[in-house]
Amino acid sequence: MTFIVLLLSACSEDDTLKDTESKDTSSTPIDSKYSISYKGLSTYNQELEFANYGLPPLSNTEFNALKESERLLIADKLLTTLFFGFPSAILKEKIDSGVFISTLFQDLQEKRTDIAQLESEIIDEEKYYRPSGESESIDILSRFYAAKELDRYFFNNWSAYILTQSIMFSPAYELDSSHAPNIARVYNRLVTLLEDEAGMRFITYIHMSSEDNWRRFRSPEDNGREMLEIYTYDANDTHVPIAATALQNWKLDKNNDTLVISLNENTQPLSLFGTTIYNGDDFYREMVKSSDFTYGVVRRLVEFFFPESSAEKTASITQSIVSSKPETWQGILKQIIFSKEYLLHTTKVKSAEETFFSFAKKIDYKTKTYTIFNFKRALEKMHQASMKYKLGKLDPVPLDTLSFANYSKYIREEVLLKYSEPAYETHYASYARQGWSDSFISMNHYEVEPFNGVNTLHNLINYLFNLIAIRDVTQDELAMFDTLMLQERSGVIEVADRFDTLNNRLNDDGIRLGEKYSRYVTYVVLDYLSRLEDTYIYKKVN
Amino acid sequence: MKRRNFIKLSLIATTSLLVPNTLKAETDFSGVVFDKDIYSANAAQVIMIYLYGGASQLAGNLTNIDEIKEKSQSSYDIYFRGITPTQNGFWQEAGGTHLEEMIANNDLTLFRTCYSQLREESNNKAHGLCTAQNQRGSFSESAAGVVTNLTQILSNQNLVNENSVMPFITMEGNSAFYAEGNTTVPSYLKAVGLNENLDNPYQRYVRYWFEYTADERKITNYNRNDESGFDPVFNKTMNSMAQQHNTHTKIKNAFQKREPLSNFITEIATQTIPDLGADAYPTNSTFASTLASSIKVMANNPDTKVLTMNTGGLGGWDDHNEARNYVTRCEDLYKTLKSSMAHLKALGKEENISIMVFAEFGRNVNLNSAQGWDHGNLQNFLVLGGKKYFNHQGVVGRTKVDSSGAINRLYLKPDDGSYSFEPLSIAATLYKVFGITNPEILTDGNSAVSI
Repeated sequence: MTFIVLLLSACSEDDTLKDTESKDTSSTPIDSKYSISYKGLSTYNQELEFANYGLPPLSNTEFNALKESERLLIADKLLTTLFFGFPSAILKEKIDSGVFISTLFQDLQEKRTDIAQLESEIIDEEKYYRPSGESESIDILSRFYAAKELDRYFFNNWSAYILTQSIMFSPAYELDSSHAPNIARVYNRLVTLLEDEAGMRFITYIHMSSEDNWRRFRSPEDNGREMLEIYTYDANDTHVPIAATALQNWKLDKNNDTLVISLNENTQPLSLFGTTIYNGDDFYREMVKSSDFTYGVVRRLVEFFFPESSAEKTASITQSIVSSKPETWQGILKQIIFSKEYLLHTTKVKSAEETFFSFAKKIDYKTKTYTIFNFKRALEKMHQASMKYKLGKLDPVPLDTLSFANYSKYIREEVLLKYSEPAYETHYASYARQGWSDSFISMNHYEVEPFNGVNTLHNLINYLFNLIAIRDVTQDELAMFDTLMLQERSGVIEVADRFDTLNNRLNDDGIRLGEKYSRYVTYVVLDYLSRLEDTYIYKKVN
Repeated sequence: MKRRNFIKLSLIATTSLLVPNTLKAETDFSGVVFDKDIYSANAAQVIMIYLYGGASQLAGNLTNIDEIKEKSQSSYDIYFRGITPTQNGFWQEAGGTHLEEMIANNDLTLFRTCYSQLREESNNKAHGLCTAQNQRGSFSESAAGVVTNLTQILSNQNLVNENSVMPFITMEGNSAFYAEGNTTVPSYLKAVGLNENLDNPYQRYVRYWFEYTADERKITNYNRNDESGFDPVFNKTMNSMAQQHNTHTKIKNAFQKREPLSNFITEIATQTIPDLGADAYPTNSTFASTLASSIKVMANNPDTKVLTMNTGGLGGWDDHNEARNYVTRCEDLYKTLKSSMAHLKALGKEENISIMVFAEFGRNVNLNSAQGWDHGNLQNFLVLGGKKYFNHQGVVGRTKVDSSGAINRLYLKPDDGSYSFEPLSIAATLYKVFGITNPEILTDGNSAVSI
C-alpha cells in the first residue's frame, strides 16, 4: 500500500488522495484499503472468489472423475502453463489426493517463498551470468527457474510476466527509446502492485501514465491512438484527435527519453468514454473506468491463451469472463487457467518458457552460469523474445519453420540431450553442470523387474513418455525402440548390453553400469521425444 | 463491386472477429482465370518488402512541400534543417538521389497515389487492421493471405507441387501474407523461414554412438558431428515414427521440412555476392544482408516464387515523433534497393525478379508537436525490376494537400484526375504477374496497378 501512495503522491497536484480518498471506517473485517479511490478510480480490489467465476472452473469432483491419463494431462497443463512442474512421484501424489485443483488454487493464495533468499540467489553472478543491458530480463527468467514454491509470490511474478508479454504492458526494448531498465521498471512495478492487491484498472492507469509507456508510444496522437486500441479495441480514427488534445502537453523528451508534462494542458471540454475529459490524466483515468476497458483487457488475455480458438469461441469466452465483473488481473488469469474451457477443451502450443521451466522442474535440470543467458538469447531466435516487441507477443508461439526450428533445436540440444555430471554439481561455470540429473531417472520412478530386463526397459521408456509427452508409449514406438535396444542371443530376446539398465557390474569409478546404460536409454528416448509434437503442445481431453 | 459495398467490407474488418467461423467459407478459386502462357513468359519471382509501421510518403514525394510547410504545426525547415527536392520531387537527403538513379536506369516505378478512400470513410487508420487487409488483399479478416491464395492457384495448375523446392519463403516469420483463413494448405505449399545470415538451425547435431548399429559403428568417424560422420539409420526411423504420430499441421510441416531446408541452406550459403563496385550493399546492415540473401536464394532457386521480408535492422516506420531518423532510414532503404538492382543485373535476373515495396498506410503530413507524423491514408508503392513483365514508368500519380483546418489533420490525397488505386490493388498486381488475368475477384474488386 505504501508503494501506491508514493506513486500517487508523485502525480500532479490534483492527483492527490486527500480530497477523494474515502476510507471504510466500519467494523467489518474487510481491509479499509479496498475503499480507497481516486476520482472514482478504485485503487485496491479484492480478488474474485472462485465460486463467482463467469467462465466455469474445473472442480475437484470433475477432475477426479477423469481417467488417470486425463488427470495427468490436465495437471501437467495447469502446472506447465504456470511455468512449473513436479517430479513424477510428487505429481502423482498430488493428483491422487482428490483435491488437486483446490489445493493448487489455495497454494497460489499463500506466501511461502523466502523472497529475500530467492532474490539474493538470482543475482549470484557465479550461478547466473548477468551482463549489463541484459540482466533485467535474465533476472526475471532466473527467478522462475530458481523458485522452489508455487505460491502467491510465484503467481504474481507469473502474472506480471504474462502481462509484459502482451501488447498491454510490453516494455518493448526493441525500440530505440526504450531501454533495459524499462523492463525492470514495468515488470517490478507490476509485481509490487499485484502483491499490494491493486486493481487492474489502477495498475493500468499507473502504467499508461508512466514514462515507460511513453517510451513505447511517443507522441500525443500515437499514445492516445494506441491506448484506445490496445485497451478498449477502439480503432475509430475520429477519436484520435480528441485523445491527442487531452494529451497535448505530454511529451517524451528525445534527448533524454524522459516524459515531460508541461503546464499548457487543454482546458476545453472533450467528450470521450461517455463523459467529459480535459487532460491526459482524465483520459487515462476515464478509459480504465469504462466498461470497454474490461472487455478490451479480457479479450487481449483470452486471445493470448486461446490463440487457436475460433472468433466465435473467443467472443464467448471473453463475454463469460466479463460477466463475472473482474477487477483484478489475478481474477482474470486464474479464471482462464482454471477453466474447463482451457483445461479440457483447448489445444495450444506451449511457449518456450512453459516448456523450459516445467521441464527444468520435472527432470531436475541443472543450469550452468550461462544457461539462462543463453536461454534469453535463444528466445530471440525463436521469435519469442521476452519483453522485446513493441506490440508484445501478438503471436505467442510463432510456428514458421525457422522459429520452430530454433525452438525445437534448443529444447533438444540444450535441455533434453544435456546431462548434468554429478561431479560438477558445484562447478557452475562448467559445461558439464548443465542438464538433467540422475535423480530424474532413478529407479524409484518406474517399476523395476529385477529378472526381466526387457520389461524394466519398457517401464523406463514409458515413464519418460509420461513425464515429457504426457502419454503412454505406443506399441509401434516401443517396437521401434526394441529394434535398437534389444538383441537376440542364443534364440533369446534380451536387452542389448549398452541399454541394460539392470547391469549391476561396477565400472572403474565404482558406478553401477546399469546407471550409465539407463542414461543411454534416456538419451535415445528424449531424442525421439524432441521430434514429437506432444513435447510442444497442450492437448485437450477428448 | 459498388462503392457502398466496399465501405461495408472495410467496416466488416473491425467486427469480423465476432463472425462465427461457420459462416466463413474457403476461398473459391473457380472464377479465377489463369493464363499459363503469361505465367511461363513472365517466369516471375517477387520479393515483397513490407514497411511495418506505415512509412511516410514524403521521401518519394515533396511536390506539395511548400503548402505542407505553410500549414504544418511544427516547422519542417527548423527541424529537418533543410529539405532539398530532387528533379522528380524526391527528398534528396532521404535517399532521393538513389531514387533518381533508379528512375534514370528504368529500374523503378514509384506510384505516389496508393490511397484508401474506403478507409478514410470508415475512419480506419489502425496498424493491425490495415496490415491484415493489405497482406490479404481483402477487407475480410477471415480471408486467406495473398501468398496463400497464390500457392493454391499455382498448385491447382500443378505449377508448384511436392517437387518444388521452397516455393514460398518468409524472411520475417509469420505474417498475414500467409494467413490460411479456412483454407487447408498442404505442407509443400507452406512458406519456409530463413534469416539474413542464412543460419541453419535446421541442422541437427549430437550423434550418440549407442544409436548406431554394430555394423554402422565399424565405419570410421561414423558419429563425428561433421561431414566425415553420418546419421544412423535409427535417426531416420525416429523421424518417420514421430511424423506418423504428429498431427498438428504446422509442427508436422516444420519437422517435415527440416532436413531438406538444412541441405538447401548448406548449398545456398556457399554462393557469393558479385562485386557490385560503387553499388555495393551498405555494410553492417541487417536489412541489406536480408535483401542480399533473398536475391541469392531466388537467383539460385527458380522454384521460389514469392519471398516476403520486412526492413528489420533499419528500424520501424511508425514515425510519430522525432522523425529525423526517417531521413537516414530512407537513405539506407533506397541505397540498399539500388544495390539490389545492381545485384540482380550482375546475376542477369532483373528481367524476372521484381521487388515490391509498400506498407499498411502512409502518413499524415502535419509535423506534430513531437516532430513526427500521425497515420495517413496515402502511401508510395515502389516496383523495381521484373522488366520482362513490368513496363517501368518513372513517377506515377499527383497529389494535393487536404486540410480540414483542425490541428494535426493535414493529409496528402490524389490530385483531381490523377491515377490512384486502393492498397488492395497491390495484391492484385502480384496475382497478375503470376498469370491471373482477373485478380480483382480475389481483391474485393480492386484491379492490378497499371504498369
